[in-house]
Amino acid sequence: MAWRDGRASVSRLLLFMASIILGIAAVVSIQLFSENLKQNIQRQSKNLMGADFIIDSRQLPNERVQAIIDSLGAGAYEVNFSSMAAFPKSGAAKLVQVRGMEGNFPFYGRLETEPVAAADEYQAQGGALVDATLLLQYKLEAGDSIKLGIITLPIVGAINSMPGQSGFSSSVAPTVLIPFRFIAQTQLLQLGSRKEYQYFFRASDDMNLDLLEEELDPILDAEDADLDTHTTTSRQIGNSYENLGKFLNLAAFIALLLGCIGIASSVHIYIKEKLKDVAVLKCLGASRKQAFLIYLIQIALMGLIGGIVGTALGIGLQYALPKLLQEFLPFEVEISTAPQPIIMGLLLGVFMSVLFALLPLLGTWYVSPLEVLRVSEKPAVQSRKTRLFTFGTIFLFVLLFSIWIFKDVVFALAFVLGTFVTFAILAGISALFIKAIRKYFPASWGFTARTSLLNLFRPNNQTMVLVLAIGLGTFLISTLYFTKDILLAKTSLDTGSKNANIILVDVQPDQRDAVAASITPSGLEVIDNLSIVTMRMHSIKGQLANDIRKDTTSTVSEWVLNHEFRTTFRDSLIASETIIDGKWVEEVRPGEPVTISISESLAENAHVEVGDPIVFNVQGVLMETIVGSIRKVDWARLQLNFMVVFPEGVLEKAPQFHILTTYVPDDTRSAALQQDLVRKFPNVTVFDLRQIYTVIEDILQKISWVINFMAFQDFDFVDMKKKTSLKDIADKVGVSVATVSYVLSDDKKHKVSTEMAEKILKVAKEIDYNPNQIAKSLKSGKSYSIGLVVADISNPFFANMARIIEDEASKYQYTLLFCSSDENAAKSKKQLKFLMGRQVDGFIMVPTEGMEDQIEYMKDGNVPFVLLDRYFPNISCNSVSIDNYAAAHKAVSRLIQTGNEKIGIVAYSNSLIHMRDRVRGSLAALEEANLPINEKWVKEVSFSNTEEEVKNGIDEILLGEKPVSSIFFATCTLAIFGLKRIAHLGLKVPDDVAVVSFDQSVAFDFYYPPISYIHQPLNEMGKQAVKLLMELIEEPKKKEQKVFLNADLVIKGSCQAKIASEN
Amino acid sequence: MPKILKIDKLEKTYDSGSKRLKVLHDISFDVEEGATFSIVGPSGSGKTTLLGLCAGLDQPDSGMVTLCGQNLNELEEDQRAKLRNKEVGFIFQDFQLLPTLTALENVIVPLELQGIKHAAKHGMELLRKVGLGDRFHHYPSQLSGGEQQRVALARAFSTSPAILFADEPTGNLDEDTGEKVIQLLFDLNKEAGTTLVIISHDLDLANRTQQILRLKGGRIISNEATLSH
Repeated sequence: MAWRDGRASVSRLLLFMASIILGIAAVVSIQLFSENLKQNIQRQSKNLMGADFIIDSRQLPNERVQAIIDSLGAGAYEVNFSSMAAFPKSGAAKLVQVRGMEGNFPFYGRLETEPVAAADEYQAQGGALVDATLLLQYKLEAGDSIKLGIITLPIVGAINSMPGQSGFSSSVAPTVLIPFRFIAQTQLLQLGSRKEYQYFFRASDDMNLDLLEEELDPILDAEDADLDTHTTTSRQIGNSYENLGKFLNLAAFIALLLGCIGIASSVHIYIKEKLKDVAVLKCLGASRKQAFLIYLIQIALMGLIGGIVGTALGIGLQYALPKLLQEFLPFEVEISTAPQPIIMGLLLGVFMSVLFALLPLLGTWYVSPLEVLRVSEKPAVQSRKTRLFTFGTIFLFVLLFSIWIFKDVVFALAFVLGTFVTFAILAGISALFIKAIRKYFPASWGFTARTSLLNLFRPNNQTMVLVLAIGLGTFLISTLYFTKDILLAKTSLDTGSKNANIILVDVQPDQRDAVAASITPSGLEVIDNLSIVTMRMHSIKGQLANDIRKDTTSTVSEWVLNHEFRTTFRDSLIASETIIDGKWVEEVRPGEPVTISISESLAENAHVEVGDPIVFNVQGVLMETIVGSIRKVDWARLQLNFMVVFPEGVLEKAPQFHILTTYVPDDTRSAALQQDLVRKFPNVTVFDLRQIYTVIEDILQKISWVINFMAFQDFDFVDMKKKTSLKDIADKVGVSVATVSYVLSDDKKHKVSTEMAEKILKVAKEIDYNPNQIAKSLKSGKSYSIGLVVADISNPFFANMARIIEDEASKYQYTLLFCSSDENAAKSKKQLKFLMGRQVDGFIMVPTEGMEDQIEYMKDGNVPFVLLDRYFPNISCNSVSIDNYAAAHKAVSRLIQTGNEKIGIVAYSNSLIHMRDRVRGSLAALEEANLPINEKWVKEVSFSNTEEEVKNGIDEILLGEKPVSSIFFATCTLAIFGLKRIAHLGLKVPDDVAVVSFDQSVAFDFYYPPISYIHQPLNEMGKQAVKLLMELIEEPKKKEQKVFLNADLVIKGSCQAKIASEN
Repeated sequence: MPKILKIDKLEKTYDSGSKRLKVLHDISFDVEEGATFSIVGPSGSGKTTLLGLCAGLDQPDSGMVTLCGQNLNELEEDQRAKLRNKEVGFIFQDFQLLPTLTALENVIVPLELQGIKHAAKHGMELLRKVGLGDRFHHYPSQLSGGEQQRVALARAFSTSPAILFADEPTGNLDEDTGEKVIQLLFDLNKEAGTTLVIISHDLDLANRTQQILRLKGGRIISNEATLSH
């Protein structure tokens, strides 16, 4: 029965089905997509760490820890410690971080060395890899040796970058990587020396790292060991990644809720129509349960079908999307289909359709069989309890689902409450609206208006349902939209324009100014200039560190007691810090208690609060302090952050060293700076963080891209046409397409380092790429400017034309930008690009030879343009020109009529149609008059060497064996050069040679007799061109028009009848 | 003869806007098993309300309806539905076929609600009987008014009910078609012994039944046997 009834209603439930299908498809595809992205991004963060997870310990692992390590199966391990290294070649010694490595680390990312092979060979060769900067500093190279403890090892290469080195965090000493087997031989590791053991693991695919961390970390912690997973690493990059996950889930959830709204409203309407049938069924003896089930099963079945179709569509989309967007995805997405979203999609289809259909479905339960006999005025009364129950269940479902999807109870609760509040507000508004119409009904209105308004509150109106559906939909979509911006803001690296990427450590107090002075002259800026005082904790809250160590009940973290704190002093907070408790103290005067500020994490690990005393051992001197404030520090910012900060007036005299930071834009400057500093200050250690920045920036950019993509924002689909070029640049620079796009579109929202931007721009310039300005200009509205490209603006013909166009355009409030192409297609290409960059609304162009592809390109891009004076016969586009053939014919005919039989023709040698027409027209006139056509009398000259070639041509046709008696010049420029030569030869016009020119020139005024010419209707041409263009700008798809105008022959003295004189 | 329907002091009031409207006043009458019975009266006399109460579609304010030996007041809504399903057939002025089901499917709805499977054969037989042997798979919208009413008739008799209520069965039909339907109705009554309760304001039709109950303003003004019997 359920099936029979549903079968006939399929078309009516189209909205219902569509809602489910789209909702489920969105959830499934987004879930799958986000799952895949997560994996891709995790792969990146793995590259930073080099392994899936690491267990580290300050001492050789005890049995328990070793058992855990063994059970997990470490792929590689190392011990690292600080030690002095000596370089026999130079006799210098330097504090380094020795890493004794066993196994093939890293598993992810690359150990980048110079030479490249050194990374793979150092273990077998039994040599050391040494930090590149250090080698630079001591002028060492592969082949030299390094002495560690009592052994000397050959240096096999320089380390450029190495996973697992997160810059400044763990050690300030440069790395020396040696095979583990040499560690014992160095005899550097004695009992009690400070060292760290690290065990690197590769996780299997099904391993849940978060769970592993959750379970193992407490156990390891108790044994003074620690577990770090790559997910922790990515968390340290910032919350961006988590935010991305949340955002994707939000998008999925919103899609689903939109689907639910669709279900609720369509079922509501559907069931309302069905109530009469239900009454009939009940009359015929159907029980309430039977009637209810008939429709419930129907809805559930459709929910299931919708779920299946939606899931299939979702999976399909998941596969299709990356294919469709292949060129745009800033990274490779490997597609895999996780079972979870699929099962969820199917269940969800049934569950959400039943749940959201429940309220209208309940109507079938309460409808009376009496309805068969009469339509009751009141709808069936549903009990309050059931309604409340249904609403409660819906709320619970939405809440549980959102908790599941967001994995954050508070966030989920807030979101669901927000949605429900919106729901309530919308319901209230529509109720008020209906009430208001009823009350203030405009009875005086006409029938149509009245009836349409009345329907808003007549029985069976859908006002409420529609207002709710549309309103809630809008609310949800705008949530997505606004969330996007907030997230993008969070996903940028830093608020400052420049992040320090070079850190100089160990700068001695007396070197401080000198070092700064070496940085600034090269145009670089000293970003930080900090004093560092190292110290350890002597006692916390009156309890000595040693006592705390022995106290087994103490919960103070071990590392707090062992850590050598690098502290600084200053009078103000920096951007990455916010006070969360207590008060920031700027300065302490002698005699006052020393109030320090500590980081939140330190406060937690040391179990101290504001007001607690801490005594530090500052290199032998005990210093009593009181915790004055606790700061939240955003460690994600690549800034010099400190756990302990002293106020001014305390540590100024303490033994200290300094850290200076600066920003260098590129490799060359970095190398130059490093060499200079090392030469002047051998003790200073230089850290180049640029490599790390690139990786992190890359990850953040990917995240931004995905966020944008999910919100369908800023995603330049228009770029599709030019995708190859974008990708070309991306490949060449080695960044993502998105990054290139940000840079080329000058998108300030996305942070791209200046260095990277410069590189991208340089490559873009090299490969001659024009960021699709065409579409951009069109997209961003009008600029009220026209680009005018003519052959040569100094040519009087074009100068006049430009002036006319300018005047004409100004009538439409448009201004002109001029360019001269010099009849050079390459030049005109650049000019078009330039003009497009200036966002002109359209072009008027006098095309040159070889410009066909540019014209086609503009046509494809729907750029409004009009060709002037010339056109390409095989490209259909808008053009305004004169009938050159007819005009030339007219001019030559005049020469014939005035008794000339030997007529020379001087034209340009190009293939442009106007020129060809002029030549053809002249020859046709000769042919028609049965006059001989002597090829030697037709002179075609090039544009680049016009004057010279005209001169030669004139000489040939006037001084040769068969001199001509008249000449037709195909342009006025040719005529001027020709007349100049004629005058030079001492010949007279028109007695020795009659002349007609195509176009006039002011120069003609200086000739006597005046020169006859073809008068091109410049005014009309300019007007028509502007008019056509304006029409096109308004309506880019307008039908193409070719306008041909007639040109007159203006007869002057240069071609007077000769018959008399010849006689 | 045993009484299939006993009505005792029935009262019914409806809320109409702010007013309370008493539609039925102290109605009492009986219908004998196998009889043909008609209720006539002008519009608004309470005929339809009375029908609703008789068939257990509605509940009275006071008074008692005994249908097929069951006191309807003592039954739950679903029990009343079950009783209707087994013992009661309905014919409505506007047919009330389910638009989403075919003629055959409509006919067997009451059987299927009883859980009887393979009822199609029986349904076809009934449809043939009412002259619609070639219309099994047509939807109501594809049938004429007379055809629809004949489908309704087949549906009404599908469960071989003890009593059949017909509410203005010819109201929406032209004279000829109406006559055919009425003839069918009486034939089926004769064949199966089904009690027929017809509500109409067509006196000619009423006169063909054995007993006529006249209502006016919600009161019985007469209840007498017709001359023809």
